[in-house]
Amino acid sequence: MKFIDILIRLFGLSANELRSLLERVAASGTDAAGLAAEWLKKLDEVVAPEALGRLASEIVRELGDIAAGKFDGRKHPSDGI
Amino acid sequence: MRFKTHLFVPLIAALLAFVSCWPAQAADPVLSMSLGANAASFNQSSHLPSDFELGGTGSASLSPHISGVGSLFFGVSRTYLRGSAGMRVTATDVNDPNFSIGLGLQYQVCSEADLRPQEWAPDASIGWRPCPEMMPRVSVGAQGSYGLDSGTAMLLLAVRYSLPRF
Repeated sequence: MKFIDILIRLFGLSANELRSLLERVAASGTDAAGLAAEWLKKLDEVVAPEALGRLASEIVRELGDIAAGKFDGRKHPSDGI
Repeated sequence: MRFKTHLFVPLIAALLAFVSCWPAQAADPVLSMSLGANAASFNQSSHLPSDFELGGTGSASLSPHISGVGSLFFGVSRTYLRGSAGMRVTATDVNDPNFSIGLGLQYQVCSEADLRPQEWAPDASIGWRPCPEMMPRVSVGAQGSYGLDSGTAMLLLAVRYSLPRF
């Protein structure tokens, strides 16, 4: 099994769970419904196989940088969730 | 669909040990720590929330996409402790500090094995800072994770306050 196939299967499982949560919020009719619908759309974009393929190549390159001691960190709100 | 999770253990453990022991050179990882609260839902419960959690998270962004992450939370209603540690990859614009979607793999432990078994769990997380000018340290988000051994899910709606030192 290729690296990208493993990523697609693993992240597909978790994305499905998050998708189910967002769908419940989007269907709730609350103030957060519109926001959840917007997040759903973005989630589907990033877990598309072609997007994960691009991401996999970035991961491989950055793992090489980390192994070489080259750090280049960023601020990501999702890292704190 | 089940994965043989023991195959991931040496790989992730070696990666974490390697990263944690490696001396910083040109630029340091971006460290973050937050206090937070979750509305959590477990597979056993179809409604949200099934419990409220209080606790904190920590992360070290090592590269534009790759971060080491961890968390420790206390379940208020069912009085449990739940922790996790692993890696997360940012799948959206890495230069946007106000919105991101992360895809990761974490090892989770819980004082109540019936509630959350000890196992590897891939997760998908969304983080959003709604008011970066007025409340730059406050973010909200959602997370879904899937236990690879148990086949059970956990869902979170979250609010975080980033500690000033970080």
